[in-house]
Amino acid sequence: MVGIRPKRLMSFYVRFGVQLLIIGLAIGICCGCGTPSAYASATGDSEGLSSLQSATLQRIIDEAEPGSVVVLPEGSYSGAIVIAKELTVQAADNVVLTNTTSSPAVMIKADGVVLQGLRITQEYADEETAAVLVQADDTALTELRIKTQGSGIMLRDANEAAIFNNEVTWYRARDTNGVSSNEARPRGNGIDLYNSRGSRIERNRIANMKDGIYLENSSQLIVEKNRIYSSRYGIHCMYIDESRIVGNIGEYNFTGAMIMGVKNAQISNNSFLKQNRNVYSQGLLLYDVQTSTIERNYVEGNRVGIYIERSSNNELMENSVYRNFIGIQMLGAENNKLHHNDFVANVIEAEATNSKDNELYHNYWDSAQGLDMDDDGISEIAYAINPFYQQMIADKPAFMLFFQSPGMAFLSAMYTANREQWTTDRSPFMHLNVALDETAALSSGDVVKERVLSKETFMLIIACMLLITASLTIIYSGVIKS
Amino acid sequence: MRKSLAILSIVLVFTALLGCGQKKFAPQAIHEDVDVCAVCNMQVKDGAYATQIITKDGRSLKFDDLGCMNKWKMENGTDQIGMDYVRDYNDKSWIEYEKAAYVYDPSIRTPMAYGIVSFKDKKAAEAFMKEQGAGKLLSADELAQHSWQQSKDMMGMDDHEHMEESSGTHGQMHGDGAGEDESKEMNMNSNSGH
Repeated sequence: MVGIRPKRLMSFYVRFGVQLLIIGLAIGICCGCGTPSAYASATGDSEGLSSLQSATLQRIIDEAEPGSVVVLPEGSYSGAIVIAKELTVQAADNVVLTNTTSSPAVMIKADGVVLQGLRITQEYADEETAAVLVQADDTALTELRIKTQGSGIMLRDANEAAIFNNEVTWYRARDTNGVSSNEARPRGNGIDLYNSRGSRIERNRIANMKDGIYLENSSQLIVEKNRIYSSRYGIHCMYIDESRIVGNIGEYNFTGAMIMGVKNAQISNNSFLKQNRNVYSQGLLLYDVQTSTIERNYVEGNRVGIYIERSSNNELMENSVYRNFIGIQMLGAENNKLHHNDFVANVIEAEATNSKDNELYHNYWDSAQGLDMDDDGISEIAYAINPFYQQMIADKPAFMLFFQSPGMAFLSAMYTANREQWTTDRSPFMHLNVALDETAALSSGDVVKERVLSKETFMLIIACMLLITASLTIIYSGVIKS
Repeated sequence: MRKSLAILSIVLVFTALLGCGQKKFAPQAIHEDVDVCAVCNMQVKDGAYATQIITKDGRSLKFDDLGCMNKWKMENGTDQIGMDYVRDYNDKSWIEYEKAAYVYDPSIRTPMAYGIVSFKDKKAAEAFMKEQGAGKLLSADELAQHSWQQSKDMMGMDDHEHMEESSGTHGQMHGDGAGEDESKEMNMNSNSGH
């Protein structure tokens, strides 16, 4: 009897401890689910509150005096609406507009309309159908939350718009089994401008669309502090003049910014990171870009950091190009100035073919052999960009397989034909131009904030740890006592 | 026995070689994930605007816009080309460049804004023009004389195009006023954009 008791006691403790552990885990899982389920029930309630037809919403708008402020009561609305007079339409906390028709959920046809805070779900699946279509001037769209199976915000011949703090994401339709049914459907653009002058697009968040911000045939635009994730091209410019693209962040897109047919642009303080899902991914691509300034951008972890083709008379300065497969690639780019850029930890730092008369100086190339005789921080040895690999793959793309293979490196080193015509940095810097922590702050200012654990998660982890410690103590003490 | 085998193998090798000699330059399918335009680097959508050149050594060059293919031909010449293809606007089948009918209008939106769409025959092209109420019918030969002006408000984006514009025969089609109104209208009632 005496011999059995401690054993029993021990097994009791072990069982107790295990039970405690299981309870702890269960609580943890419940807590984890807590937030979304609460959210779902909240929206569910509001849907129950009032389910109004589009006719009512349209009537509210039609009955309002021009120039007045309309505050939409909380609730769910459906159908497409047209705003054809100057109005300020504000949504209360939880106003959801769901549209299944083939017209845009909101169409703005009068100048001076302000639309604020609405949640829009555009369920009609068509690339060319927008959730919000603007065909008038002086529109303000703020704090809209758009989920769409088509495109997000579209401006056509609409000038001087202000598009601030909106969120545009792809609407994942699910069939009865909960399987996503529209994954392969063509997506529209997040914000799409055509023939629209003088608009400001600021602090919007766009994810999983075709092009995050697509700008065509427009001028004097300001695109600032937007964030674009997991789309095809983050910012796509076609034939844009005199515009500013500043402080935007792009991650996991095919290409961060596709700047094509642009002149007199200022592209600065953007950061384009981890654009590497596609074999032809770039951080920043410039094609047919003239007389523009590209400065203080941060491109990291892309297939190609900065790609420049058929572009001339641009100035690229103080850009930080880190950890890309190819840092900078130039093709038929002439008469550009590249100076005070940093090229660090790229597999191939630079490629240049048919790129004459570019002025390169005071860049930092971390793999360059520098020699500073007079201690002025500038190397006396010029850094010439070897075009061998690029010429090779231009003729036979399959040779990309030999990217940075020892043989390719050896052949590149052997190749010295027309060396005097290679793109050359005549006075490379011996040290970094842009301080690192500055670039880090620049690249991920707000992103870092997001990554910090939320209060609930933190508490959850603490609770779990306490529970595990308690269970282990009980098991351990039980065993020791036996 | 061995001799006949040898003869047979020789015959086989020769027929195989003959087969190589008569390359057909068939068009290749477009893979949106990996295909980018050989000129402008944009993704090539598997749609009506895609064009393709099969070079004599069997390489496939894909373009997102007929204008980009034209640019490539201007820069690289046509000696290397085995066959060049465009797509029918309606059913997206590949058609030989020479045999297709083309419609140009500055208001037609194509990926690089060259504003040209292609059709397998004149009838389809004319139907399209009727539907849009605009456009100019061109044959492949007439395209050689085309100005290749991209429809954008800023004229003469670079010197190269500026020259084309001044020497082009269709310069008058790009007037700021009328063309713009037309484009408004067309963008409204058609999905011809990309």
